[in-house]
Amino acid sequence: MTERWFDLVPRQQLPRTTAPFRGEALHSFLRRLAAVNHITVTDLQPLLGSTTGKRPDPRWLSIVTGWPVAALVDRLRGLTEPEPRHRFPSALCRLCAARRNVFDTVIVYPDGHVNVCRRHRLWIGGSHTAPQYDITPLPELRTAHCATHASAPGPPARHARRGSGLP
Amino acid sequence: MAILTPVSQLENRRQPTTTLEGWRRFIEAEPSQFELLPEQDWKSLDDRERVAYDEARIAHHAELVVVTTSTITEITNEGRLLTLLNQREIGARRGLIVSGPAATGKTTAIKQLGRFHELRTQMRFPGTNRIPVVYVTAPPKGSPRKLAMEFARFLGLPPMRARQNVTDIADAVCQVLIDARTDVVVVDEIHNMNLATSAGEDLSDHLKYFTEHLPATFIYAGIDVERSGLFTGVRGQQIAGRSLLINTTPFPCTTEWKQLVGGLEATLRLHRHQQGTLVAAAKYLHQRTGGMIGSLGHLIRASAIRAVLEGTEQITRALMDTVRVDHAVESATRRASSTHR
Repeated sequence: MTERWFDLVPRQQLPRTTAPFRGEALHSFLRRLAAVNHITVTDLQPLLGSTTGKRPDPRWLSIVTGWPVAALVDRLRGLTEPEPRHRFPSALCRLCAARRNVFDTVIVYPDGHVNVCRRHRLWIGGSHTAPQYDITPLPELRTAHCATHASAPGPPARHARRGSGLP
Repeated sequence: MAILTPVSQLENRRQPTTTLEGWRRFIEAEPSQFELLPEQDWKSLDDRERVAYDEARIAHHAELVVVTTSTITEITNEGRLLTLLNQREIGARRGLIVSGPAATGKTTAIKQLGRFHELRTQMRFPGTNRIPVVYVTAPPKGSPRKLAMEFARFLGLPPMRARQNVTDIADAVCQVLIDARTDVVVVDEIHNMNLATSAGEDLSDHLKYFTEHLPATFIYAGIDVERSGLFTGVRGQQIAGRSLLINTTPFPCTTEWKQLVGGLEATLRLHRHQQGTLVAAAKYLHQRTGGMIGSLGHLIRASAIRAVLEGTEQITRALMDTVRVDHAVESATRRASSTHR
């Protein structure tokens, strides 16, 4: 059957949605979005106005996910501009993700040089496939991390998420 | 003070209720409200204002008013009971079949059942993104793939690729519905499923697949399903053994019919109409519509719109004589009148 462009414009939101994390890589978000709807990323592409290797249209992604365009642009890396090449992606702390009922690996581009999750005391440095070790027995790691980040410019304040409509 | 809503035929296009967005709009829609202007204000409207006022009234009369009938009450009560019974069921869940002639209010009744269930669930679990009710129609000349696609279309899942098989689609649909805690699945136009054909048998088997894989109560509605072969053969017996059947019939010309007419008459917003005129003409309305609630709604609403357009502002018997109802009722009325001669 011939596919027509006007058939492909998303008419409604997907039945299940998931919220993007701050600094999350676009491909990570799309993978999670497809997974909660029990489809593949390839199945998702016609709804996003994208093909393999092409970025989705933020407005289409907004219709499909139900999140505002501004919030998606703010949180996702690689949606409106290419994914940052000078920074390495890492995995979000698995317990931070689990707090929001996400049990899949979330790949993010952290705002700073973050190796430790201060809340859960997990080592989150290295690549996204690296294991996340509990650093409770090594308090000096956490102290060093806190000292580094006290002098370095920190991530955006928590209140910045207000009004974005996202959890 | 009148509520002047900027209503136009081309605005507020609604998605069909066979999509999740359309269904949610149907659930959230409040009954149409309209207050007539006082006589003095109505007469002093200029041409532009009068057009807007009349358009708003036409839109009000075009809205389908749901009057709670004994059939709707029975179907919603039975449906609720089954939903409660099935919530702890592990094996075969029981379903409900609503059968009857066209225009006897089957679809209205099952949609009301779905609406009540969804509103109850929203009240019980506020703020959750559940999909408590799914409403689909059995596809014409249906195949299992088409049925699975109907579910996928309702949910807003993307168009499936040609190489994907029925199991892939059905599996994705079932998983999403399980995650979304779906309790009630409404399948309308079930008479489209013809068990005398192999495609119909396949469709029936897949419907059964869904009933086994989804922890939900299935509600079916169709035209005279007992006579359309839905309960014949091994598959038919299985359906019959697991389903309650409720028949919808034309209303007899009794007190309930008068109440029904009265309920519809109360929603009219015409400046010269005397309340009680239609109740007094209940017997005439019964003759015209054959006791079909769908035809009654059409006749009264169409007459009201005509009264607005012609400026008569009241529904009289002469006006109703000029309004045509559906072919089935008109031919039945003709047959009845020729028999009486």
